[in-house]
Amino acid sequence: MTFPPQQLISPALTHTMLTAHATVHRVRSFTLPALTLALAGCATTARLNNFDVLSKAGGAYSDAMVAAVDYAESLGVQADSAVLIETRSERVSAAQDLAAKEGRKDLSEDEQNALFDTLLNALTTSDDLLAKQMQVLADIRHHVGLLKDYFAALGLLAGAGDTDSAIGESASGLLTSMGNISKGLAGVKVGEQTLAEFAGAGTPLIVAQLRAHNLEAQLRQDGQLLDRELKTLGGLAAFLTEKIRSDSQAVQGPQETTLVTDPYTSFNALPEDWASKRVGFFQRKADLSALNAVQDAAGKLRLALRAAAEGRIGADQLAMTVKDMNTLADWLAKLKHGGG
Amino acid sequence: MATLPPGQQRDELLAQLRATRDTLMSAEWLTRIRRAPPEQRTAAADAQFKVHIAILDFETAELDDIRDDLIANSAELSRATGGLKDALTSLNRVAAVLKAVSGFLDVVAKVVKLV
Repeated sequence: MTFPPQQLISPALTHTMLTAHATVHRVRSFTLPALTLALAGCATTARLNNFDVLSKAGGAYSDAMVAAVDYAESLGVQADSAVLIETRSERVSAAQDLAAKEGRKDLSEDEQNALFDTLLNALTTSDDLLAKQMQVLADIRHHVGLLKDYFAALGLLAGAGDTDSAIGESASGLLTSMGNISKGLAGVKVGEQTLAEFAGAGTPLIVAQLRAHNLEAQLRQDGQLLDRELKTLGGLAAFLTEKIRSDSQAVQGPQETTLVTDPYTSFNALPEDWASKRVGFFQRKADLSALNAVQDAAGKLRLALRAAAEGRIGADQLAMTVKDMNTLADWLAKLKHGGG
Repeated sequence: MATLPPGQQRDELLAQLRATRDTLMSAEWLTRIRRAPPEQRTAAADAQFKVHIAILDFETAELDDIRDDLIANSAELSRATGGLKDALTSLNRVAAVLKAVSGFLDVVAKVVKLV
């Protein structure tokens, strides 16, 4: 057969052609049983499905990380406000009580000015620091978007259905044309199938193998980068988990004081919903432990990526990670919109 | 702002500061401090605010480091994504070239039959 000039053939096409050529040779010598082909097809399909699950796990992980960053940011502002409100209340009531101790009903002008300066300084200092932190978080969120793009591209390559069928039809046509030219090839049968019929079944396999080969090669090439990236994001997840836990405490402390502790320590009758509100605070503390799943996910993904590059990947475990990450992202989104 | 300590030392300080704020913003502490004399309330407010501001400062420094580590990967990550997209484009090109070769061979087959 005549190949087009070398510069017009991509390495991928060369690989396909050589694989196709090798397959034809195997057909000619009748050494490839149809069963082997079917098994190889199943194995390749399973490999591609695993890559598809891997891309979904990576996408879900990226979404969960963005949700964690969003929630940490929102809760951080709430915690800051809680501290500002609490300290303002303490300062104002303390200044008023001190004046009352001295028999004065109102604060003096100097006291008012000093309190004004203290409160304004607190607010602007907090605003400045929060704005700086939010900018850094925005940069991180943008970067996580790049990781999501990577996994989306991986998913496209793993599940390129339309491309497969287009290549399959074209390759089938090519083999049919080869059969038209060569009498030897035209007469070849695999079992009860002619070469053209065989080509229809065999080419999708060739294409699928080409895809799986591409994916594995790409992951081997990107392995160190992804490992570094996920390691850093694992560190970020650990940091955010601690930040969220601490900010949550800062937000809930004053609320718990007002709704649970103050009513309980007063000598008045307790509100009817006192016990259920108390349960709510305990429940919330327990729920935060779910954040550990984000840290675990980075480790699972790192292992899965290494395994995928070596052609051994466990889809079941990754499917669980996808589920965990989706659940976590939903939960964080609900927390964010439901308040701290 | 004061110069921040590096890496691990900063992490430890941040953990201690958070533990302190946890206490200063806990229901038990707030219940007690709200009943305390005005001087103690003012001192408590000062402490709460200073600890909180230090936490914000340390957190931002930590996040800055994480951001720098991530951004160091950005260009390579975009290139890797481009590599995957190129591979997909390559697969699409395979279809186009195979189709062209197939058409060419069809013509050759017809010529061979005529000869």
